[in-house]
Amino acid sequence: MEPAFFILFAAASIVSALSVILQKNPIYSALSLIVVIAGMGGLFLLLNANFIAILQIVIYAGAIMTLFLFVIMMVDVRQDMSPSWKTQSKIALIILLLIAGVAIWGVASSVAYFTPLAHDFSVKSLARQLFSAYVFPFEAISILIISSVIGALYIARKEE
Amino acid sequence: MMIQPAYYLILSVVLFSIGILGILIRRNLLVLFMCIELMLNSVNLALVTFSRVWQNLDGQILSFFVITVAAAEATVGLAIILHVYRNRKVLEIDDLNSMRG
Repeated sequence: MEPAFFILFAAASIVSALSVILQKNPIYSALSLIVVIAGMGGLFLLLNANFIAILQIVIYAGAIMTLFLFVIMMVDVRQDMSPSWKTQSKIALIILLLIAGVAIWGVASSVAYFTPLAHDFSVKSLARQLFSAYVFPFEAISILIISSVIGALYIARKEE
Repeated sequence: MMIQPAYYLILSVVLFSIGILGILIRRNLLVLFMCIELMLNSVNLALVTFSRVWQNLDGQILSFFVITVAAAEATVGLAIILHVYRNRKVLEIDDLNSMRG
């Protein structure tokens, strides 16, 4: 059953990711990105990362993409926004394909296997580790979030 | 057919490359931002895969931090995009050249 789900989620992710960069209208790009994120959430479930899968759906698909859609609705997206293929980006594309090819070749020749779970992979043990070994980064992240909220409100305010 | 970690990593590389490709060919600030989110997501996939392979929760915790920082980054970035749009009325990066870059 797992291979079928993997192929489903992976195919949905790749097709929607291509749709993100090829759609002319940013609204369609954002909706495709939501499909990518949901597909990745499914992959996280297959990898026994339940908490990350839930975060992926709640924070990414729920919060960040809603923010994107709000901003897209506030700006005028009826300008000409088709992808541009300049010489510069064609050269860059070739270099990119080379790098991606080398990366895929390196990854494909690795010999790691999934072994049955021996450790506790539950949300409980994740929380225990997060609040013991990683408690300082956790608190730092909360400061980062509060300052980014204040900064965003300050930047986006209406000027008199 | 067994699903191997390499398949997840190849998927991660492919999604990351699609994100870079989008940054190269698109000229719209919002879509560039979405491509960055796509790349962050693909890195998360690699982190969670390694976490599962080594049976170590550190990878999942790191991807938790990546998601959180991505949320903060999206908030500030979208506020900046909104500000740029209010002042210049365009979002094409080729037209945003007042600093002659």
